[in-house]
Amino acid sequence: MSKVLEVNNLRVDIPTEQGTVHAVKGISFSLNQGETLCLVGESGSGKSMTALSIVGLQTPRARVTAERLELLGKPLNSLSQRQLNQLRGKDVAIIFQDPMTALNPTLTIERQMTEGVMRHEGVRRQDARTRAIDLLNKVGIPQATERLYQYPHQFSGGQRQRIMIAMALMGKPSLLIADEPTTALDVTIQAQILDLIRTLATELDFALLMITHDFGVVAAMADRVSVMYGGKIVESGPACEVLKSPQHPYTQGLIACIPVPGRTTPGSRLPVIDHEKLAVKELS
Amino acid sequence: MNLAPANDPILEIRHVSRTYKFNGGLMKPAHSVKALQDVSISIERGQTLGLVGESGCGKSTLASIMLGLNKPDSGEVLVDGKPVLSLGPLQRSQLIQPVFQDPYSSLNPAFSVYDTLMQPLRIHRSEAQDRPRRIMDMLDKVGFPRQLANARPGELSGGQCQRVAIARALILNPPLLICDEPTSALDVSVQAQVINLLLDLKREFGLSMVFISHNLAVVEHLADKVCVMYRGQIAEEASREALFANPQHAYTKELLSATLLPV
Amino acid sequence: MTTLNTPIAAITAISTEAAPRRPHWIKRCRQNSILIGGGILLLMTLVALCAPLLSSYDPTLQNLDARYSLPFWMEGTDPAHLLGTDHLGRDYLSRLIYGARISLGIGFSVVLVAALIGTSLGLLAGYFGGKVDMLISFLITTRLSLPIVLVALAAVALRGASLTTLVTVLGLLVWDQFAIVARSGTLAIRHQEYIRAARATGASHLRIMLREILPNLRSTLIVIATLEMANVILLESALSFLGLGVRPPTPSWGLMIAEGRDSILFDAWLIALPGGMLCLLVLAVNLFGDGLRDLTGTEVKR
Repeated sequence: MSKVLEVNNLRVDIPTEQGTVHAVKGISFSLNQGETLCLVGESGSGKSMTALSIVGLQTPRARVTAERLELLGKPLNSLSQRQLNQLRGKDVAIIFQDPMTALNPTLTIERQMTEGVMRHEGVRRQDARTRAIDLLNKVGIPQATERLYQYPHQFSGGQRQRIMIAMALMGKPSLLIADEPTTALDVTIQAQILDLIRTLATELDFALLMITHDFGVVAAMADRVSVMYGGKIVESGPACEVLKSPQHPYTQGLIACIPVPGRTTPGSRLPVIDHEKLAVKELS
Repeated sequence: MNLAPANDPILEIRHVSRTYKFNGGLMKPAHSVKALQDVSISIERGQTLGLVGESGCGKSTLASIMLGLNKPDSGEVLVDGKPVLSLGPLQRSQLIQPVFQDPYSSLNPAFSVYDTLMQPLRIHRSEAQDRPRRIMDMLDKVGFPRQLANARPGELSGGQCQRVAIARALILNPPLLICDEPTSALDVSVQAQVINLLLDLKREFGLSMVFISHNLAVVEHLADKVCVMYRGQIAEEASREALFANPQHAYTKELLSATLLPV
Repeated sequence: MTTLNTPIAAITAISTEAAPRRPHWIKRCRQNSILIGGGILLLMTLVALCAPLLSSYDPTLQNLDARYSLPFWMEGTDPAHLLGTDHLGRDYLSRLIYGARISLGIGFSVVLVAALIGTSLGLLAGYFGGKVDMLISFLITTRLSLPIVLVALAAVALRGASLTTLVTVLGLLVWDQFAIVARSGTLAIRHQEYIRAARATGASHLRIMLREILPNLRSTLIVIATLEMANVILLESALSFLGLGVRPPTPSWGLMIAEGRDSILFDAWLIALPGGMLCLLVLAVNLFGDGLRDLTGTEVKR
């Protein structure tokens, strides 16, 4: 299996007026073709910052350094902004939490879907359109031929996320980064979208880096999982093993504090993560 | 707690319907949305009702109607045996209080924590020299550090904000609390803390609670009785044990199978 | 940040070239504009407040023997009058100092009146929405379609020029910015959950508007107030210049410019001094308001 993404000692520092914030403190992971890795963590753990810095979309102030940051063997951190632009939407694509703000409300779906490949690959409009219709069918948008010419507001939230996925797959990426793609959706829609992403990943054989705070998503999606806390990876391993017997106290706490019908007794107090104790452990 | 006929209901919702009308504007025809259709629920004193459904199913409209902030087209809501719309705002607010979803937008950014809790006491003209003590007591009860009493919401974490919001709801000692997705905007570890807090407070104050959520696992943990709403109607109403052991309605089954669990 | 001590040499910053860090001087400029603008404003306010202590003459006292005495930087000046005298022999320094009183006084009071009217209307429109909003929005549009100077001229001409008329008329004419900003601010806040929570604790509509919403609009409204004040000071001068503002012999900078008009070719300083003061004051108020706006991150459409 070929290596798609290799990240070694990635650091993200954000200078602020109160001093530098070390958002990501030297993390390493890699991702093979067709594999799904979940980066799990709570808000402020640096998981989104990690995802964004891989594609160079971090806040302009942030400084990203890495010993190694390679996509398909190409070092990302020596690329110019223009080469990075070339890469985004082709070899690597990203989908975000809120599909409404990620889509341009003034352009038709057709324009937004075809623009990228026409520019990156010089595909003719007609071919790009065919590919778009094909993908819309694949993500489960009915009557794709007509709906291609509609605007984002004419779709429901779940459909918009499907469109985002189709759009991300237009350039046939080897790596798809999904930053909490279902957090804003209803439970039933969430299940459908996750199911869709999983099916597509198997079918099109791309590597999937999934950012989430929800161990339920991990259980449903991941081959491997890395748990982030305070800008570091505190535990990684195969998803089923980590879920079954988590080693790090933070992972243990994170899994135990979710109520599960049948496992937790209704009405009982849930175990709570002692952040102070953890912080002490992390520092020592 | 079982589903015996409600002898002493703290809240009764009787055949409530609500339709929203939109007069479309120049190019669009007027249309209406039936947010609630003939909804009836009753909650006994000390019971927790879980209200489950997807966004747009009428959960939040129902919450507003329970609080007396929105008028139903037909039907009525009785709190403690009295129609909520016949109560004055002061009386009503002593019986029923809300906790909302977004911890940041549920606190006024212009007020410190202390001032936020002071407002209800001022409105209700409580004993002036008693107020600081009541505020500090309430902060202790919700586990909010006293030394942060002068902080603004912007300086607090989501979990801390939600504790303050709960403190504000409880400072008038209402017997009934309406929690509208109070944990869905929080991290899971913070969610656990808030759930624990609600459980503790329920025991301590003998609170009745309506817990609105789309997370069935959380509802299973907190509720005695569960109502599943679907498109403005009650799809299924059952005790917790019955609903999770043997769901009847197709939508309930779908919800149960879609709930992701870390196992 | 310290660079990593690693054997691998290829440690490069990905995004340094594409990182437009906000230059330090912009921030310093903002702070400076507040300091400079605020400083001048404070100084002028102090001068205006202490006018009787600072000036040695009654600004309306005529002395026909000492007409057109020249200011200190010219030859043949009268050391008793530092900035000379005007065509009626009145001490020009005293008139300038007392003129600051008029400009600032009218500026403050007009803005106060306008803020009161505009903020109340904006709050009502934003909070209640529906028909109330339609009515008030219509009022705002109507007000925006009126040319201020023309209407003020007509009103003053009808009512006769006096300080109270001037303040009332201008106050009734410049409230629109306050109303627009208060309305849109209220609209944004009205559906926040803390407003619903306040209603659930039994707060009245009035209480919610004044206690819950208004404090959140405060910084924006203060910015609008400073920017409007510059506007009003200029308007007052314009009206006084046209003879429809402050009545002579009360010293107003606009009036002084009007009176100096006849001698513009011979004694240009008669116009330059009040004109310069006017420029300085308006500049100071604008600098202060702009700095405040940047500092509070308020967006104001002008």
